[in-house]
Amino acid sequence: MSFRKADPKLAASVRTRLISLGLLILGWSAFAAALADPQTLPSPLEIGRLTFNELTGGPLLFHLSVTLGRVLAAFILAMAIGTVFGLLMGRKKPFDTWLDPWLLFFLNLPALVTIVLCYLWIGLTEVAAITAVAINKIPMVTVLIREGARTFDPSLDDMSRIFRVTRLTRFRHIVVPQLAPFFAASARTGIALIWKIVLVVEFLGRSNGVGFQIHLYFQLFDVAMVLTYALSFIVVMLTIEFTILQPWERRASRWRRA
Amino acid sequence: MIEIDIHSKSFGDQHVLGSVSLTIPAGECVAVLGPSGIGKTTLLRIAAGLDTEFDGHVTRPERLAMVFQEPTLLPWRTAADNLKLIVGLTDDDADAALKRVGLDGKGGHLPDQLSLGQRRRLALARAFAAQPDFLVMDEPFASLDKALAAEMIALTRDLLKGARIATLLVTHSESEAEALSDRTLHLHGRPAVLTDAQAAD
Repeated sequence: MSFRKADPKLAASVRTRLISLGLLILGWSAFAAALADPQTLPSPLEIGRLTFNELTGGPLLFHLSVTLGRVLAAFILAMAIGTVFGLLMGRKKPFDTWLDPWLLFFLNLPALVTIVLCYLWIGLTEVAAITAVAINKIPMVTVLIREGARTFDPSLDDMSRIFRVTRLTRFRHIVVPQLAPFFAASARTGIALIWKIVLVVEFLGRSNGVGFQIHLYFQLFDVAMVLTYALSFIVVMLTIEFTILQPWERRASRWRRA
Repeated sequence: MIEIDIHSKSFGDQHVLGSVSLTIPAGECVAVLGPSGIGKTTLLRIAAGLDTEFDGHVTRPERLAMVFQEPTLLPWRTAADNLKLIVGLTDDDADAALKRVGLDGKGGHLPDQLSLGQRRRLALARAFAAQPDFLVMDEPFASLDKALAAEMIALTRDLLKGARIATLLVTHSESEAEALSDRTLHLHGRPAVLTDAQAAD
């Protein structure tokens, strides 16, 4: 596949997306102007001004970094545990038969229940917060990695057995490349789910982070500040999505387009 | 010396192989002919140690190599890496192995950037680079057109020449069997048994 050929299409797609986003902001501005009640719906301009103020003179950066730290910790934990379970279940039938009912149970466990139980059992601590988020995400990673492991090419297994390829080489050069597209896909969907749950976890039981700030301004009925914090974090997560996760996913499946 | 002594092999209640005995001394190429679905690949997988659930015994050396029906390469690794990672060749050895099969200068290509014939050559290069005592070939020229198959057979014969490799070739093409093997056997019946070509005719 030639990327040069795809470029005009890509440019057109980006242009359409930017126009679409512009229309959303325009619609918001028009609605805010028509409502003329900044306490209910402040204009995008007002949110921009507040964000700048919070960023330069307020604690926005601190809360963003605290939340991002929790997202990362829960993400790494969930990816590591989910990958191990996914591989085991995808490659070994008895594990799959034994663990599948557990997987179904945890997949259907509402995030709120996990969070409340973790806070009740472990206490209002950082460990409880990160554990609760990870528990919510592990089943989804497991499902995706299991699907990936099921699609492994059995002839490559045969080939590596015949040529007595070492375990390490087998893992690095045969297992990981086959798993990479699934790993990248679960990382992308994972981070999208995790950051939303982290906000709930902070809302319910932490004393810092974007979720905590949203809770604080919710109690003060300050819609503008709720939007300021929420949108700032959305921007951070979208930046991570477009600059790290999407390019990584493209690279992980690059050989498929050779 | 390869000694294959299978009493029986079944998949569930389907009895695929009956009594199959075969000895291949070093340096000899034995071809096993038979129609599709008769159990040739099953026999070959047992011989190679890929299938261990059978009644019988196989004696085979440590160093073996296999040419599969499909090239079975790592599609995310270059041609040279396919030799270096799987067989443990150095850069120079990989270049030499590629040259031997006519893939000079293709070391940096991914398998998908090579033609089917070139991928087959790479699979052959990998098998011979492993310096096997026992080489197993599972319909290695299937799905190739006549000219390409002839070219690959000639190349395989060249590579086998001089090497003291015991080779088991499974194929449904008599001409391939004739061109490469010292001895041709037939697999026939249900459960399948092995007889020499004359007895089968």
